[in-house]
Parts: sequence; C-alpha cells; structure tokens
Amino acid sequence: MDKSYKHVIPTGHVYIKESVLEKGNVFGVSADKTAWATGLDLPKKADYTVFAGCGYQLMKYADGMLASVRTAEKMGVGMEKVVGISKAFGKVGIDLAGITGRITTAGAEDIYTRVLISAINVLKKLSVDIGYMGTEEPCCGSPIYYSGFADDYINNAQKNYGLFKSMGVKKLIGVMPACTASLKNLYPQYINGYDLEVKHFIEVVADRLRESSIKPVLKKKMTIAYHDPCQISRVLNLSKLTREVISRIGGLELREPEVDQTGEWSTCCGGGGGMEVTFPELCERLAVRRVNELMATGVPVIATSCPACMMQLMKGVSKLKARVKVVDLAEILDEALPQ
Amino acid sequence: MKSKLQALEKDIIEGLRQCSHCKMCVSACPTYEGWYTQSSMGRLAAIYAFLMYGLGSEKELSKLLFSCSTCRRCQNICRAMSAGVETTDLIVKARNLLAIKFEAKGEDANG
Amino acid sequence: MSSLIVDLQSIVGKENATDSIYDRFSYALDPLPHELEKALIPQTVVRPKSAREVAAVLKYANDHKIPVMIHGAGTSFVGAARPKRPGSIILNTCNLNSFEINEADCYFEVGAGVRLLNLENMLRKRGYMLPSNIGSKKSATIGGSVAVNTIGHMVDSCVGKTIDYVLGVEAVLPNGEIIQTGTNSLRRPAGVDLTRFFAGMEGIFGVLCKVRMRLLPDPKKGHVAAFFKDATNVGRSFTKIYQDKLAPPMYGEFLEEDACVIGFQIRGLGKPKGSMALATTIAYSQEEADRQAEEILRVFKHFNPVKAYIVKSKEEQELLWAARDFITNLQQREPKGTWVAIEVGLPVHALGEAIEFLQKGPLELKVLKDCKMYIYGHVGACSIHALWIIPKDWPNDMKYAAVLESRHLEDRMHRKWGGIGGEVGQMSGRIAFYREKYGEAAYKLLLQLKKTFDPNNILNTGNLEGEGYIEK
Repeated sequence: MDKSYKHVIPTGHVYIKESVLEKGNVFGVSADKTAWATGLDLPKKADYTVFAGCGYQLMKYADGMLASVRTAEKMGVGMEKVVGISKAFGKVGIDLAGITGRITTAGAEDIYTRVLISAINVLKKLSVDIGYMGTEEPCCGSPIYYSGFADDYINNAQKNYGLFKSMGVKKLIGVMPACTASLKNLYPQYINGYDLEVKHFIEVVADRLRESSIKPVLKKKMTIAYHDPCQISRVLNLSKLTREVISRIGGLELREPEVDQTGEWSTCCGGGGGMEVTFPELCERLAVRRVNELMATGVPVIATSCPACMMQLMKGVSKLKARVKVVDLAEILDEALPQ
Repeated sequence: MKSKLQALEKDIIEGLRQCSHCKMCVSACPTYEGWYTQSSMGRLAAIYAFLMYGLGSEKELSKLLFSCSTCRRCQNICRAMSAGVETTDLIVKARNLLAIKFEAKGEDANG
Repeated sequence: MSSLIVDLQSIVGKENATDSIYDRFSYALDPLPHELEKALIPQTVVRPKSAREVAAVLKYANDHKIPVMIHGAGTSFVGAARPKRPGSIILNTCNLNSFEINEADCYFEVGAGVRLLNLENMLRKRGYMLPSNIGSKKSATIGGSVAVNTIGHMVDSCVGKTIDYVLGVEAVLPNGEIIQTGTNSLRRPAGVDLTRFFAGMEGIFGVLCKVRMRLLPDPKKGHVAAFFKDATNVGRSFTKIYQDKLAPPMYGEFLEEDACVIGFQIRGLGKPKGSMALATTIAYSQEEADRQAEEILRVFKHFNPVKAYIVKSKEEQELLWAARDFITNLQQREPKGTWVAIEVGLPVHALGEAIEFLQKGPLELKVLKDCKMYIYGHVGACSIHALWIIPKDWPNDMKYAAVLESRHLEDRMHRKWGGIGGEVGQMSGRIAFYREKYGEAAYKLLLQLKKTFDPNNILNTGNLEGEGYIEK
C-alpha cells in the first residue's frame, strides 16, 4: 500500500492520496465531518442526496494540514523515501492527529460549513426533497485524480458507486464544484452503466426558480462581483446559468470585471490542482492578482461558489488589506429566499 | 504495467502533437510571470522534450507540472481560438505518467 | 560555455536570463509542424528590459560571435523564429513593455514586446484604433508586426500598412549601438529616413526596442456579410469593388463554405449558407460608413448570393468575425492534425481566378495531395490563403516535405500572377522565391547591406540565407 514516488510527486500530493484512501477525506483528519448537519434532520435517503464534499465540510483543517506538510517537507520527509506519510510524520515527531485536534471543533459552524447550511436551507425553501449520507459520505476522489493517481481514483470511484447504489442513492446534488464535476463527468468514464443523475446546486436552484413563482429578494440591497470557480465555468459550463439565477435575485446588482476575466474566462484564484501544498507563494500571488481584478469593479462584496476559491479570495483580500467581503452565492440565496 | 505506461505515453504524445505553438495560451495562464515554462505551452513543450528527446529530468518536469493550478483557461482558449489541444488534461495525464513510471513499493522505498 | 549565463545575467539581471532546458526548448518552437533539431536548441534565453540592455546583450554576442534570434512570440509562419545555428541566444522582447500615450501630439510610444491585443485594448479604451489586426494578436507582438510590416487582415488600399503609421523607432544595431529614427511630428520625414531599415526588415539589420506610432481615431464602421454557392464570386465581388472605383473596405474576408463549418459550430452559428464574404467599411461618419456598406452590398448582390445583408447585430458581427479569425480551429475538425499554409498576394483581376485555381486542386501536389485543404483569406486585401491539415503522426521528414511543397505552390502562384506575399514576411522559408523574383543583383545588395549592418552575422542568423529551408 505504501508507495514512494521519489521526487516526482510532491509530498503534499502523496499525502492527499493517502488521506483520501485511508481517511476518506482530502485533509487526512479523523474529525467528524458531519457535525455541521446536526439538528438539520436530514434523512439518509431521499429523492435527492446532497453531496457536501470534504471541501466545505473540512476546509477549516486546511491550514493545519498545510502546516504539517510544510514542516514535513522541511524535515526532508516524504520526498525521497516515504513509508506512509502519517507514519513518517510520527517518526519525526509531528503528531498529525494532535495538530488537527488543536483546531477548535467546538460549535459545528465555521464560515465554510455555514455555506452548507445555507445551501440546505435554500433547497428546503425550494421544496427539494433532500437527504445526506452523513458519515457514510465518501470522498469523490477528485484531488487524487489531479495529483496523478488515476488508478487509485478509478478504484475509489468504483467503490463509491457501489456504496451509492447500496444506499439507494439515485440523484446527487453537488455543492462543491470539483466534487460535482468528478461525480458527473469523470465517474461515467470509468464506471460501466453509471446511472446516477448528478446536478450542481445552482442547476437545481435554477430549475426550481424557473418552475415556481418564488421570487428571491434581498431585504438589504447588495452589489457583488462574482468569481466563477474554474470547475463551474470551464468544466460544468454553468457560468451563464449562475448569472441567470443572480439576475432573478431582487436587490442584487452584479458587476463584472473585464470580459476576458469573467465567465468562461474567469481568472484562476490559485485554489485548484493542489498547487497550494507545493507552491504557496505562487498560490498567494494568484489570489492577490484575482482579487485585484475583481476589486477593479469597485464592489464591496465578492461572491463565489467554491470553498477553495473562497479561501483563496480571502487570502488575497487579507494580503491586500482590502475592505471587501467574500461570501458564497448560497448564502445570498438563503438570505433572499423567504422562509 | 509496462504496456499501460507505453499506451499512456503514446496518448500524451499524440495530444501534444496537436499543438501548433501559437502561444495564445501563454497570456491566459494565471501562473505566467514571463517565462514560457510558466504556461501551458511551455509545460506541454517540456513534456514533449522529456518524452521525445530525453531532455531535462523528471524532477524538473515534475516542478513544472505541479505548478499548474489545472484551471483550464488554456484548454478553453485553445478550444475557442486555436487547435483544440486538451492542455490541462495532458498535464494531468503527464502527472499520472510520472507517478506510474517512478512508483516504488514500500520495501524498495526503504532500501 | 557556462560563463555565458553568468555574463548575461550580469547584464539583464539574474531573473531575466535562463539556461534551463525546458525554457530553452520552448522559446525555439514556432507554428511550423516539423521538429526542431536537437542540435539547434538554443543555449540561453534572455529578456532585456531596455534598449540599453538589448545593446549590451548584442555587444556581448557580437564580441563572442554568438548568434542571436529575436523572439517576440515566435509566431512567424515562414520559419523566421527558429534558431538556425547551434548555440544561439534567444532575445525575448517581453520586458520591452512600456506604453506611453501622447494625445496632445497624437502619437503613442510602445515597447516592442507588447502584445498586439493588449495594445489594441489600451488604445480602444481611449477611442483609438490600432492599425493592425492579426489572427495571432493574442500572442504576437507589435515589434514583430512592425518588423514584418504586416497589417494582417486589414486592407492596405484602405488603411495602408503598419509602417505608414510609424513615426520613428528606437533600435539597436548588431554591434550594440543604439539608433533613434524619425520624428515626433505627424509630418513624417521626407527623404532619407533610417526608420525603414528596422521597420519592415524582419530583424536582420537591428532589434526594434520601441516604436512611435500615430494615434488613429476609432472610425465608424459598417458591416456586410454574404454567402455564395460559388466561392469564386467572393473574389469577383472584391475585384468589382476595386474596378468600380468604390472605397475599399478595411476588411474584405473570404472563407470557403467548408472552412466555415467548424468555426460556425464552435460559435453556435449553425451551418454556413455557402462560402462567406465579410466586409467592414470605415469612415469618419456613420452615414458614410453605411453608404459604403450599401455599395458593397450592391456588388455582392450582383453575383447571386444565397444571402447578402448588412450585419446590424454587434453580437452576430463578433461571432462571424471570430469564425473567420481563428482559422486554427480547423485543426479541431476530424481528422485532427497539424497544418501548413500559404499566403499569396494577387493582382486585382485575379481574385476569383485564384480561388478557382485552388479549388481545382493544384496538380503538382504530391505530399499534400490527400490532405484536407481549406481556402480562405483577406481577398479584399488582394491576398489569399490555403491551409492543409496534415496528420500529426507523419514522420518528421514528411512534415518538412509538406512545408516545402506548400511553399513551392505559393511560389508557382506568385509566378503565375506576379505578386508576392503581403502578410508574413520574405525571409527564411521564402527567401528563395524573393531572390528569384527580384534577381541576383537585388539579393546581393541585401547580403551586402547585411554585412554592413552585421559583419559578424549574429542577428537572426540564417534567415536571409534561407538556412534550414533551402534544399541542397
């Protein structure tokens, strides 16, 4: 099971693979990722199954995980000869579980899980019958695909499909764009007879808003620029649909950056491909550049639909000491939809 | 394993040969800071140079491949304005190629 | 030779010179399909930030007799960008990126490395039009296009060529001396003007560092589109526009029906109704632009189009134009492949004839005989292209043979009708024909000039000699 890739796959990416395969989440933590859903009374089985993804559920552990990986790299662990990174961490005195445990889990909410709660609220308000797999929800495997481990990805995907079928899952609603793309576009390539219907949250919202007479309206007017996550704009092709939904929200004004910086041309914020684990300074520069592009519109709020983008944009805002708020579109929808 | 590696290599090279080096992807790349190797064209050229000419090293190539954020802006611009090279997919495939080619089992890793 | 990188870094800064193999390889690649010889991979790539640094690099190269290839974006279609000698230095202009606009005196000054699309956007924001429109403008540079004196799609008889807007340049000679030319007045120098030795000379006499160009106010435009079952009627239409003494349009584009298909598909335009003609008229007033458009529409209608109309929707115009502009989209059509293409300059009377000639399928083609051919071009500018999709997995010498064969066809068409290429430069792959057309006295003169400017033959070495393209 334990493999080394000499110096061709960076430590962080090997760690991501082991995390996904051994711990079932990209950060490799043992924490309960379902805590946010306590009290939401979501059944395991329903018409649609919401696939929350490790991103929104566990992003709060990202900093801790990155710090561990950095330390490990500095100590020369993981690049040349690795025998299971977590074990290797232990050998040099880094207690991963301890680090992640230090991050407070008191209260199930953080800025990322708040987005999930908003998304659930929105779907409920739009009368979508939803369930949530809870602790059974697997990792879609997308991070290991991009890290170069196609076989492991395929095995994981096939295992997950078996799990979905055994739990009677028929229709999935993805909230994290990369997970949605993974389940919608990649799984069918590797699983014969793949018969799950996969939609992204915004597709379901758009459908419901079209069919019903519900008119979302913000009590307090808001002006935003929207940052299209790359998986939304260029993989799922949902930029136009997102803007259709935005245009239906009363009291919401959208300002766009340059034509070649938005929609299908949305400039990357640096959050994808696992780049941050290995190239943190480059990653930060991308975040700053993107925030500058969006700030040129003069808006006080940047909205997006991805936890990695959210983290990156906040990083950029913080570095620039800008007075801009970063929110998820799901939160705006939750605010605008009546109870 | 060997034939899988060969098939992957062949697949990648065929994809790379679609590129006509128009460099429209260069300014589309968010990691581009003035050198071609910080763009899709340069990364693809590096894969080609490594596979076809035996130039450079897997370590250097790995650095280039993993500094890509896989945002697909290059793939999008190539589809809309040029040859339709599946740039990002090729970069991810090349990561896969490196993983397969340089994978060593636990015991070997320790030795 | 490892001291080379150290020496160059001391001139341009550590972060602006590299000898990393993957950069060296990628800066030697161009759009032609045949492989780069391993021995010709350059030694180093430098990115000087000013004319002073360019001068120091050239002086160094001249002193040590190291060939230097100028690289804007390396998008030359005639092979001018590739190194021809082992051990070259690639001089990349991307750090020559200044831009200053002087609206009081109606000119702007721009660094050679600024990309054409960026320049176009900066000018358009202020109400000016860049007199240049090349398909590769997202990557190609102003320095390259001024060095080649190409205005791309635009019609010379309407707006002139790029050089007509150049008021002066800052250039560096191969021995490292810096030359300033021209004036800051819109009244350009009458008589002897050294500008012409750098603008339009494809980098064989010196490196362009900065260009001063007249600001051209964005004109009013009219757009006309027409679709013909008989593609030659597009050519005949543009011939008639000239012969009827009508105002030539700024754009007179042609795209054969088959060549429209993939471009239309990518842009959701459905199926083309025939071979497409697109014209854009310009004038200082909208009434005049519209009047000219109506006249062109009348000419199109004379030749029985399936459909001909004034394009009123801005969105439609942009989509039609994009379908015409991004010709490399053709590579995406099955069977996918790479390409070779030709560019032929034609006399006014032969525009329809040339389309017919290409449609018949020139008999002399052997290597390209079974390759899918597309015909298109700036027929309104008296220019035509043909492009062949060639299989990606062809052995290298077949790809090279395809390049040569396409050039020979181009030469034959130039011999037949008396023109010469008006878009992509005369060096490298085309110098053999240039020499034939203008004769030995003219070619010898060029060689002598080269020797005067560049006695050690270090700048864009091999391009004037056609190295790498002249068959033994």
